[in-house]
Formats: sequence, C-alpha cells, structure tokens
Amino acid sequence: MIAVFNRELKAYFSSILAWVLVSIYLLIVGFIVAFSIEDFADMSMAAMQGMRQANAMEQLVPPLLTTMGFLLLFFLPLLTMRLFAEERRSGTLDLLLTYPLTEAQILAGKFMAAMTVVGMMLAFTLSGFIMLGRLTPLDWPVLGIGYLGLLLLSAAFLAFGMWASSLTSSQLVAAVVTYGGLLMLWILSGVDRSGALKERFGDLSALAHLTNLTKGVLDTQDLVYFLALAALFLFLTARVLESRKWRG
Amino acid sequence: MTAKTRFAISTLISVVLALAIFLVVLMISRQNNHKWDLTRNQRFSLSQQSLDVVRDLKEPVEALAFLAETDDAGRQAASELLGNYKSAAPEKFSFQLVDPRKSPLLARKHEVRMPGQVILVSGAQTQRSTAVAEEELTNALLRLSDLTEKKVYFLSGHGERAIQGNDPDCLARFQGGLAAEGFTGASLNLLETKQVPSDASILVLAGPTRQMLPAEQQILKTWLDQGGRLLLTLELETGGHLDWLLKEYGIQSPAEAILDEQAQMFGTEPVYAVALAYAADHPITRNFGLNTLFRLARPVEPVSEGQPEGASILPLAHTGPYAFSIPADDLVGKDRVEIRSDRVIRKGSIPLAVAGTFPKGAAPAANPASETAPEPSRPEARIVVVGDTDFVSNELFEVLGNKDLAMNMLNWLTESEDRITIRPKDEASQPLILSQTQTSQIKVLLILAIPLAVLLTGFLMAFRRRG
Repeated sequence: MIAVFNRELKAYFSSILAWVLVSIYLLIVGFIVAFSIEDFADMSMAAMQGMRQANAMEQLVPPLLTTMGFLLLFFLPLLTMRLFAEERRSGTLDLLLTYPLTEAQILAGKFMAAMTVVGMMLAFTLSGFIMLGRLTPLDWPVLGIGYLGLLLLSAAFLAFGMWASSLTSSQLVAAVVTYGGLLMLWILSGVDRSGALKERFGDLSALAHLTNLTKGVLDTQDLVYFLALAALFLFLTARVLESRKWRG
Repeated sequence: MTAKTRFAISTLISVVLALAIFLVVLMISRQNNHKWDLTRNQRFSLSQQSLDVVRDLKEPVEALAFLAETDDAGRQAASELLGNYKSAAPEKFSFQLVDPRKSPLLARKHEVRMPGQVILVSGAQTQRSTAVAEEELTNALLRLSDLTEKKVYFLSGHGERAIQGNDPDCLARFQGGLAAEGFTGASLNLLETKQVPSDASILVLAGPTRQMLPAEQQILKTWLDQGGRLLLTLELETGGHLDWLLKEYGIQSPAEAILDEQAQMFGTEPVYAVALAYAADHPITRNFGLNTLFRLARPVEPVSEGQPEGASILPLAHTGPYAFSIPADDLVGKDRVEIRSDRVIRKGSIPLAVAGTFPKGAAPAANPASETAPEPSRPEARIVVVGDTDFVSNELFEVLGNKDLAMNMLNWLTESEDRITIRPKDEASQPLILSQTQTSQIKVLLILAIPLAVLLTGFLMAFRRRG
C-alpha cells in the first residue's frame, strides 16, 4: 500500500497539474476569504452603531467553510479522474493488478495519496483563518470541527471520483460523471421535498451534513454519513477492479 | 452456469447488499445519534430547562410547525430546533413541518392564520407557540403538560355580558374557546360566594354596567393585592364605574370614544377601531401580526404619574393613524354619530389596551385585614385592561385576530411564576475593525502570495526534475 501511495503522490506532484489545481483553489478561496473579511468589517461598523450583531464565528466562518466545501466539488474530480482511467487507457492497470497487492491495498494507496493532496490544499487555506484570528477572537474547536467536516466531505467525494474513474478509460468521462454525481449529492435535500427519505435515513445531501459541522456541532450522524459514503464507493470501486479479472 | 456468470451474479449481489447496508447504517445512525455542541455558549443545544420539560412529558406530544415550503431558512431552523427536542425524548416528542397552503384543512383546524406558528398536540389537548423559538416552545410544552385545571371566573351581578346565549353581545364563543387552551369557564357572583374561589386562575370582569358594592370591591382588591389575575374589558358608557380600580393600579381610561375613519369599510358609521400596532416587547403581542377589531372603544393607558411602586404597565395595542377620539358623551344616548372637528380630542395611534404586573401590595388601598380572600400565592398581580367588551362578544370574537389576542391575554395572565425564560444564545457582538493597511495585507497574502508561492514551487520542482 505504501508503494502505491508513494507512486501516486509522486505522480501528482511530478506533474504540474496538481500544483496548478492547488494554487487555483487557493486563489479562489483566498479571494472569497479576503473579500468576506472586508465585508464583515463593513458590517461591523453597523454593529458598532448598535444596529446589529457582528460575530465572525456566526456570520463569517460557517459560510466560508461551506463555500470551501462547495469549491472542492469542482476540484476533486480533476484529482480523481486520472487515478484509474489513465491507467486503464495506458494499459498499466492490468500490470498493477498483477502485482502481489490486493485491490484494497491498491485502492487505499491511491485514496490516501489523493487525501494527502487535499489535506495539503486545505492546510494552506488555514492561513486566512490564522490571519483572521489575529484580528478578532475565533472559536478554534469550532473551526477544527469545520475542517474535519471538509476532510470527511473530501473523503466521500474522492471515493466517488475514484469509482467514476474506475468505470472508464476516458479521464473526461470520469470527470463529468464525478461532477454530475457530486452535484447531485450536494443538492439532494432539495429533491426530497416531502421529507420522506429524510425522515427515514436522515438528510442524504452532503451540504446538510457539512453545514452542521461548520457550525461547530459534532453529530455522529454526520460522521457516519461521510464515512459510510466513502466506504460504499471504495467498495464499489474494488468490485469494478475485481470484475476486470473475470471479464478478461 | 459459467464461472463468468457466477462471478457477475455474486458481484451484483454484493453491490446490492452494500447499498442496503449503506442505507441501514444511515438509518441506525439517524436513530441513535449523539451530538456535541462545541460552540462557546452551546448555541445549538437546548437549555437544561427545556431538556427537563421535554423528558418529563407524561403523554407523547406531536409538534406541527406551520411553515411555507418556500421558506427554506425557516424550515431548516425549525427542523434543527424541533429535532433537538426529539433527540432529547424520541419516544415522547415528534414533529412535522406543514405547509399551510398545501394542508389548508389542518391549518384551519388549528386556526393557524400566520405561518411560523407551532401547534403542540397531545391527545385532545393543543397548545400554540407563536414562534419557532425555544422559549416559546418550552412554555407551550409546560402549558400542555400542566394538568391542573385553570379556571376562569366571569364576574356577574353588575350587568356584565352573559357567558351563555347566542345573542351577538354575549360571550358564549369566548367562553367556548377556553377549552382548547386548557381553561374552563364559570360564572361568579361575589355577593354569593363572599370570596374569590381558591381555584380561580383568572377573573374576567366583562363590561359591568353597574357599580360594584364596596364589599365586592374590597374582595377584588385584596385578591389582586395577593397576586390575583384580572382581565377587565370596559364599556364606552359605563367604563367610569371602574375608575376606583384602575386608579389604584396606575391605569386610566378617559371618557372618550374612539372612532376610526378607516373602519368605515365595514359599511357602518365609524364606530369601529382597528388595532394596527402592537407592543413588540410584551409576551402577549410579541410577533403578533394580526389586526384586531374593536367597537365603541375607550382609550386605555398607564397614568403618567403616580403608578404603584414596582409596577410595570405597558400599552399593548394602538389604533392606526386615521383614528381619533371625541368625548364619550357625544355618542352616549345618540341615534347616530356626528363628527365635529372641534370636538376631536386626540388623533391617530390611540392606546386600546394595557397590561400590567404589580408586585404584591403594590396597590396602596389593599386591606390586609380581609380574612375571606384566599391566598393565590403568586409573587405579582397581573391585570389586562381593554377599552372595549365587544371585541370578545359573539359577534366579533372570531373576527380578524380578536380570538388570538384574547387567548394570548389569558395565557399571559395565567403564566405561573416559574415560567421558563431562556435567554437568547446569540454570541456577543465582536466587531472587526480593519485599517486600510490590514485589508491590503490580507488581500496580498491570500490572493497573491500564497497561491503564487504554491505555483512557483510546482514549477520549480518540475524544472529541477527535467533539468
């Protein structure tokens, strides 16, 4: 697993693509964070005149974390699209499957490598909050829960992306399928207007579960949702890989 | 069956099983979730008081939150708050979000006229929370689980309105509506009983047209002085008969008749007055968005000087800007309304009702020697005075928001001293003041420096590898 992890991580960082992706994500997040802080400072002026409340942990941090999660939806498919589709196109997937490795080890290696890239991406975004924390008091445990939410969301999204990548030899198709699927996952609560699904299984939308975490509420239901979603798609990916053996 | 087919079938079965397990796991996690609110002031959790109330419920309660489907933010907030109650006692509390437009019959059944209300249903009992807020909901739950009978006595013997009968002037509908709020109504003649019964939660004095005897006045004053609760509705013609009582509690009702040109839309002379503005900071009228209709009303207001010590008296409802008042004598005994501009006493925003709280012994004339009055053992007396009795008559009780206002008054009057008050959990305001330099530094670092540094590192690594 370590070998696969090292190989994938090297592949990510030896190509300029990962660096460009990370820097564009940081640029967009930085842009949003910087201007949101400026807007919040303007709002604070009104608060000082007693017109309204101004508290960064209520009005600034949770929406920023949710937006960062939403942006991941556009970047993670670009990270996962090549994981299996590229190997399948170049014919290295069959070679990889002949190594003395189980599908689970291959999957875990690739998954952990992608998670490392996302972790790095998110770690850089902390700089904005550290700056903010020097200007106004922040509730760090709440922020920590918000970042845990982003990591869990990434895990679920990456697992879905890996599954989509394992289905095809075209990176473009893998990316499009991932975009579509993740977008559906994001807006799912809007589809269930009657609330029948929600009543039974809880909110199936990733947004709803992330929102809870960004507010600083650690609910086992949200943790289980993201972990179960990641486990489901990792399992499905393993089955797709396994199916190559009998399809020949 | 070939090996390939067997493998395909086993894959299919395992995929279906995985999906089923996924859904079961979600279901179990939904039913057995644990929550930790890590915010500094536990902003997203129920207070200990609310937790105790919901866990101590004797009968299951279902909350129907009436919110439009388009109100996503409202529904989300309601789901979270009601979900907290449900998590605290899943076997005793459940809730439903109801769109009043999609379920008009249900809304009608519970007399929901404004979205944003929550009806708590337990068996045949219902209670209303006028807002989706913890304090209101917990208090409504308390009222619902309060099994003690709250008795409302309507005083009689002084020409008060009858509580039975189909006559438009009677109060039968008002009396009939009490049951839904957990009250029972009965008539009371103080000359007969010589005291206020010990089970009395509220006395209603609905438009007496004769003076009360001094002995009766004394019984009433003593009861109020010991924490009694009174709803007093006045008549235009005879409101002055109660000046002895109002004066002691720092309230006045000048002998004026309120007329409202706007109310001519009812096709009558301008004898109606519509209350359009309500006290936003009083529990009776907080979030109250309905107009209420009065007929031949008198103004009621706190006296500007000489209020009892420790008393808090607040006007509850005001007329709109087109209302004005004239001397009551100009109407009493007349066949029709004649308006002369030189007779107008005041114009616009005239107070129609007041509510006051009075600490025990606040009224100076209470007679401590009285032995007949029971001990209500409440820390304060509460009095609501309305400048009109017609607003709760059979004819007007169910018009506009009259019923809601009257029931809010009764609920406030009976609120027990251990009424739950839950302070808002908003974070303290911590404004962020940025200098121009700080703003520029943030932008340079977040938009330029960090992304560029990452990009350059990538190029550098790629360049070194190729080199």
